[in-house]
Amino acid sequence: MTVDRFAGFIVRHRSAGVLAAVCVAVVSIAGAPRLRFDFSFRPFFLSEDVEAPILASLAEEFRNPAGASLVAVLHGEDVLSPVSLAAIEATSRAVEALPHVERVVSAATVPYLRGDGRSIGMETLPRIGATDAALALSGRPAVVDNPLWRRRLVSPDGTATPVVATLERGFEGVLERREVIAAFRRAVEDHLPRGFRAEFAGYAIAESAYAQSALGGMAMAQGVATLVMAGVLYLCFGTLAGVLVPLTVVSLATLATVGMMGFAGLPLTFTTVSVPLLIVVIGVAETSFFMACFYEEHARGGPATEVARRVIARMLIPSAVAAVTTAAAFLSLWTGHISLTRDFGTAMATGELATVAVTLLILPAALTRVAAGAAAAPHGISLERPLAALGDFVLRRSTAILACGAAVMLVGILGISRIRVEQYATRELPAAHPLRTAQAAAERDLMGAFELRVATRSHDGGRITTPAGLEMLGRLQEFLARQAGVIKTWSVVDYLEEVHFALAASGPQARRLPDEPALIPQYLLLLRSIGQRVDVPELLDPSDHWASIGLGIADIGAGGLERLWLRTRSFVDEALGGGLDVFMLGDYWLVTRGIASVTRDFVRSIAASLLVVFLVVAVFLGSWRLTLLSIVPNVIPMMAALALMGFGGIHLRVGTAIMLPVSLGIAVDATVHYLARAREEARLDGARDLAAVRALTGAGRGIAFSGAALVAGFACLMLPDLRVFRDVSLLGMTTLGTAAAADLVLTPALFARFGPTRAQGPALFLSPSDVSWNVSKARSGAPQRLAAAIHDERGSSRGSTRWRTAESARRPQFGNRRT
Amino acid sequence: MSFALLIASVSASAPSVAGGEQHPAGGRAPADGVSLWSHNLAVQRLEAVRGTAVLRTQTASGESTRLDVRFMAKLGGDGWGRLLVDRVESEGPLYGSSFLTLERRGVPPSLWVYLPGLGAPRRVTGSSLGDAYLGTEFAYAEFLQPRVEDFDVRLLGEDKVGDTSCWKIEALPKGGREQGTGYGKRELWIRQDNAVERRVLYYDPAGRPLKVMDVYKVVAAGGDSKWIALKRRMRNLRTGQMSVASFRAIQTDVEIDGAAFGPQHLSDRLW
Repeated sequence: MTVDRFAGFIVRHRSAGVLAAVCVAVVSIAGAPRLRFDFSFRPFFLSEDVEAPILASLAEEFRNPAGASLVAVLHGEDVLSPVSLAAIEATSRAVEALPHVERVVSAATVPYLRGDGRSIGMETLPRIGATDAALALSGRPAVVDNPLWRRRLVSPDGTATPVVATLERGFEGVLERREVIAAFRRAVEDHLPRGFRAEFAGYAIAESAYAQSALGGMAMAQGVATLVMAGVLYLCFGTLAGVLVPLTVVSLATLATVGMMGFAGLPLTFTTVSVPLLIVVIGVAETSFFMACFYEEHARGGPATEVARRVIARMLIPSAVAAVTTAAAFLSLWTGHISLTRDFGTAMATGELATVAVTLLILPAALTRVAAGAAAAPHGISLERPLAALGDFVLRRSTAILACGAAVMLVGILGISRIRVEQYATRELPAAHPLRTAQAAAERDLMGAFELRVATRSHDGGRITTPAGLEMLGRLQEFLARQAGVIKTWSVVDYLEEVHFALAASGPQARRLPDEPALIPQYLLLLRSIGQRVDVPELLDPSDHWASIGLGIADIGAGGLERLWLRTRSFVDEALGGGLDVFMLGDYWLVTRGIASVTRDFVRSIAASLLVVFLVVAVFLGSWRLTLLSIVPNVIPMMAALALMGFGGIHLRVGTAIMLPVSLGIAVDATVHYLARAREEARLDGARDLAAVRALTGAGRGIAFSGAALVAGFACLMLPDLRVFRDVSLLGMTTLGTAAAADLVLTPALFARFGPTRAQGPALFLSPSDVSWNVSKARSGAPQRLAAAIHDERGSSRGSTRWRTAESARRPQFGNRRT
Repeated sequence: MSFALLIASVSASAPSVAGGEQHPAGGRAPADGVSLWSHNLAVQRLEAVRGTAVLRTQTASGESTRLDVRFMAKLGGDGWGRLLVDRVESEGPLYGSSFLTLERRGVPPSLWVYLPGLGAPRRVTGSSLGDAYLGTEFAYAEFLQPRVEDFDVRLLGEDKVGDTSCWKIEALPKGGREQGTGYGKRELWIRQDNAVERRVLYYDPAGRPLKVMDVYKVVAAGGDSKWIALKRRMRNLRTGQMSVASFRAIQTDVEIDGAAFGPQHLSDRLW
């Protein structure tokens, strides 16, 4: 079935198309409720991580201490006063009773180890206060100086203390946790002593804050983007149909994509949350080509169904190629190792293809209806004169244009070396966000809002509780405590020293490990006998082979954590003679491992995108020369984006890493449109320079408007209050804006210099036979008169086209087409 | 510390079997949950007991440990309190480590510990019945018979655990949570043939299952229809960690001198 016959077929059965579209809508509506949310940090984890089994096993062994937690930082004049402790105890009890809360750690729940050489006390502070008021008063300095308490349970000045609720394993999901988080806040605020205030942080609350910002921000951006797209379309076409038809198509395509995500189990994540907006933006840019074509064909006249058929026939292949290149770019994200990027690629590729499918289902009926109505020629903004002037400029300044392109490439190359790979836990949120305020307080007064573990074992496979093993463990802990970003460290060594201090030692140097080796297992037996109330089981496994060092850290970022890890490995190898095997545990570390793959994934996805996109372009254009020409104006926008990242301080991370390969697939469409047009123009008389200018005035309008739509659409990503969306917005605007500029300036200059003078290969989809520009007048004149000549040629037949399918060229023509 | 109480719990409260009908052994329906639970406690209550035990703990990842313990226990002189002492018998640095628990009316339980490396016993204040016993999943409180009057007990009906026919009861602490342990509720499956519990499911204060204890190898202990469970397995439903206590060389008809339950005797090995 030829393109033309296929176009006729779908126009004849346009009612069935509408019916099918309705069915798609109904099915999609049924699938949408199945859409699940996953705004956790887990999709950042590395897929198929070779170390995942051992890390999971160790996390299980140490009871996954760095898992999901809710943290309330309480600030008051004296958090260790009896009144405060009573309130903290009541708070802890209330939080303990909340569903899905597994454990509560606070100054009221953790035993305070103390002793006088003859006895050891393991009461909680409220109990000590109840039975021994004098001790409660005099013991305050000892509490804040206690290594196990200082910064973990009380700030050095005694004015801040945390209440930490660890959530059950397996209890995940932002929506599922919403009630518990709200109840946690209520439980804390309801029991606050007078004069106290509470701030909330913690892993689960951070995820929730991100989800709220992402969902709320994207919902607002979606609405604004739709309005912006409507405005751009109106500026372009100046008709209601020119606005409504594309918006209807992209709305249905968005619904279909969301429904597919629901059925396929693709979750809404930090990346896929932007899919609906991007489908609208990209879909409008692509559908607007149909509308532009429609108005051209409508101007040529003929029955409504014939107009619709001609539009479909003309646009089917270019649009399919555009869809394939864009979808291929999205699918290049499958080369990544993080589900966030792969899911995004899948969803967007589906959305892209859904847009084409919905277009073919709806447009025949819509265009027939519009053509049969009072649709007049569009009266949007005219770009003929500016484009003609631009063509003139291109011919006169082609060398300078090429030099500018080279300069951008050079700056981009310089920028690459300055790009940093980094992913912070909460710095995507505004600095004034309550979560970041609480986090800052936790870093200033306590152990920070993030907890990690370094799991260790003796390299020789023996117990780590031998004197030599504990000495190495202690030295490693001291080393970690000195590292930048590490606020607090603790291990079983601290507990052993504290018990020894309580039971046997005295004097200022008393906090040390016992000299008698046999006491170590005996102390451990005693510590384990108070079981769940201290975190010894999280620091030492029952067989004494594995120990973990707790780290309270600031939000040092994935890069900072990676560097900390490398320093730690180096210390173990050099200072400890490799006597310990070390592993880092915790979700922050798993995110870091995922981010470490971003650079590799970034290069891979760009390479895959370049390969697939330009392969499709080569097939479509049927010319290697044109294909090579198409690469330059699409690589330059990428280099501009890299320069922006390098010199603008935009870190390479999950969101920004997917922008470049994706924008290549979007931007190349306009290049293809231009080059195809330019080649056909060149077939007329072999003059590359004139062909370049004629193609610019012919295809430039579409390129300019689609570029404007894309830039305006990506600008809407500025609205969510998350830095990563803003960076993606900047990169998107830079890349696609530069791409549009390159297609309007650089591509014509390249074509004028290096383009073919005759058709270099088979004209797969385009026919020059009826292209009838009278160029002789223009060719005989100076370049500066070229624009005016072309303008004269077009006269009042604004919108008439020289770019037609071979099939349509053989058909009777209608309306005002001039020959 | 108090192993004896686990296998043959010592209690002075010794409530009589309430209700109009006899104990449920033999399959007759019990009058209510209180009488059923009271009978369950009565058939395992001994005035004095001693023996040895092996404690095995296995973590979720498969690591396991073993501890051999010798223990003895008896009722206090006031007819209410309980005296319990345990000594580690495993070879190695833990050998000889001993724990003494003294429970008296109206005061928190008193714990003494003897660590051979220190050379003298030390008192441990602030210990809790909810604390883990020697690092196992068993808590001290699980070796002590609870006082039925502190609970609201309800008979839930008949049920089976494996092939064993049981009565199922629910015990809710009157204060909302059990003193010492903090449990919010416990459910017991009491065997219909000998009234010994087959399974106990412990809940946290929020009503979520926390730990489950299964009881095996129930044997007769002397006369007077007393029973002893020689094996108990406690599984932590959250961490996946599991402990098994196996009892051996149990002696129930023994005279134990109350003076042996003094801290000064923790270091000597006279028993």
